[in-house]
Amino acid sequence: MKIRRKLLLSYLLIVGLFIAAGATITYNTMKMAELQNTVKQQVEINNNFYAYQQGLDQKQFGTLMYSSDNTIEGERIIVASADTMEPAESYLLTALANNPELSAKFNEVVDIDRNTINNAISQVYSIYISNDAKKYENIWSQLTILMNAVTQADLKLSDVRSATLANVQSATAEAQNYSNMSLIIAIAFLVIISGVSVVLSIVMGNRITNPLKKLADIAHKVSLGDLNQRYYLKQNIDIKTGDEIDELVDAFRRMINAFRMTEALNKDAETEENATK
Amino acid sequence: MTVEADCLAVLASELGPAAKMFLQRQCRHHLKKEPSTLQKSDIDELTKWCVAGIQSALGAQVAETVKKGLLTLK
Repeated sequence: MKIRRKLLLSYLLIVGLFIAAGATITYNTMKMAELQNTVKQQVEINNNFYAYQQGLDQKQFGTLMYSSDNTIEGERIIVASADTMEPAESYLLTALANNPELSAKFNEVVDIDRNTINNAISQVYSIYISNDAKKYENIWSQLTILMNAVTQADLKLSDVRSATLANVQSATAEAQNYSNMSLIIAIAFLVIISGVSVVLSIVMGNRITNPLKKLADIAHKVSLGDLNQRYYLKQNIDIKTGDEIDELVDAFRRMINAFRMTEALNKDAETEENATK
Repeated sequence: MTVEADCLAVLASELGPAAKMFLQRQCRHHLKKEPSTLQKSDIDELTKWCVAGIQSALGAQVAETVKKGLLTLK
């Protein structure tokens, strides 16, 4: 294998490790982004449950004011409660479409509001404008129904809010795990890549420089006239690396052969010359 | 390619730039002819003298390699 191909393969191995690390960390980052969206959605749901809960409390407070002869302010608060509850209800019905458990619980709350609470408020309105002798007794009775219903709805909403908070906590913990995992993977790959790079550079460096060092040493001796280096060449750097170093050793060996042969031919020529004299 | 060029190619693979001079010497001294006039029929004789010359200067291993190369030219 040629030196360039060997170096290229080493480079590709390191690049491959970088790609593997990058892919793993990217996957974790995507998962974290997904979890971030989940957290955002669950927090939004939780906020809307809270808004709905506040709306119910407002409604209860408005009714109490209304029945305490603050009819105008009481009505205003009851109407304002609808402004709080309607967008929250609309959002929750859409957002909980894929969560049957929370959706069922919320529907129970909506049922309590529509059937019990609104009915009690209507009753309070009717009784308040009537001239019934037991007017305040009847209003109190409806207010008791209303307050019980609101308490019941509050409890159910607290349950679903706890569930969404638990979802937030679980998603946050999972995101934290992915974050920790990314950190560990980054450190592990950094160590692995550094190790592989060091090992590869040492191995590749030695494979290239060791034969070259020996060849340089022999070349030095040959340059000083020691043509027997051909034998050292055979012994010392007859390493089949399969690359350009093999070709260099062959060329060098041929060159030493040429020197020796030229020397032998010159000797022969000298001998012949002397013989003719 | 001529027989001379073929022989030179075989010898140059082991002797490098000394191949031409070596071939000339072996042809003139032992075959009594110029390398350019070499024929395929001279290969056996040439091989014998080349092996003898190389063996004394470079050793048996190189001589054997050259012998194999020259004999393929027959």
